[in-house]
Amino acid sequence: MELEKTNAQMRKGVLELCILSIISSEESYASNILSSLKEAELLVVEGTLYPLLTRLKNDGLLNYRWEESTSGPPRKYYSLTDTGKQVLEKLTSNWKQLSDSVNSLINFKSEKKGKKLKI
Amino acid sequence: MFHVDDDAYEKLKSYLRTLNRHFKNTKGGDEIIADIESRIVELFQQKINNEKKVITLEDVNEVIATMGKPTDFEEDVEEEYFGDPDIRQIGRKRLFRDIDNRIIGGVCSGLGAYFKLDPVWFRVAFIIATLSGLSILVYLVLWVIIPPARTVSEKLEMNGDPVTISNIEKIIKDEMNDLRDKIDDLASQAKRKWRKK
Repeated sequence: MELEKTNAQMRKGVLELCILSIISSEESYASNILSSLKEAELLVVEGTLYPLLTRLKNDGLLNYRWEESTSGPPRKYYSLTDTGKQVLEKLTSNWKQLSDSVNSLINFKSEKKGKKLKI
Repeated sequence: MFHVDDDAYEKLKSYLRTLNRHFKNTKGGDEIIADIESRIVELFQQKINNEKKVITLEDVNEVIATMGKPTDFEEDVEEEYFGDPDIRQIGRKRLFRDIDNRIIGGVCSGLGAYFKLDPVWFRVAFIIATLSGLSILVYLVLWVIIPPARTVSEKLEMNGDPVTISNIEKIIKDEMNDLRDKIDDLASQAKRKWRKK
């Protein structure tokens, strides 16, 4: 239970960054974004995405345009605004820094363990 | 457009109603709901083909599981505990009479909440035991000694839920919603009667 909660918090922390970076690589609509996120196992239920998209849009990070679809309801295609691009850049560099620090911390510990085992 | 079974339609309607309630006070809530609705339509479309033309309850359940409950897509996970230090323990459980679901005194419904069983089993047991003559007395004694769950935090403890702000909010919201549904029902009944006249 508790472990799942921590995992969920970790995912939530990086979700915005992931959504922005998916949209930055190509203009996408919800189903595209969902399948990428699910493939990466970053999303448990699909409903999580929609409040996030709306918030990012209201914060001025995303734009969208409607496009008719042959197979279903019209789709909202999202793209990054200039602010969105700037935020993505900042978040990406922050993430790199964070993951480097965490990795070096984890590796440092396992190295120490390895040495102890050898002795 | 496609056809939806009656039970499936009811299930879907109640799911959309919970979404509405959840996002009513959120900024851009209408938009979020509209987006989710069109995703649901998309998922339905994937289930329809030449042989299968009707959306069944099973389909709706599957779609709801994919989308998740509104509480599953909450953005903040943090919860703070408050109240008396001795009822702050997580999931502390106490025996109360469940006066909201009572038939006589709420003893059986309270036992049901405590043991996480359908209260009907306790009711049946008490009725069968009446034949021996003892159970009415036992029931009366329990009625007197078990306190009723009156406050929200007592109701949470009765079910073994931790007393947190969000749990209390949930109970209050549920009660408000029940009330509103009842008023809605009454209003529509009244309307129907009015029309008949």
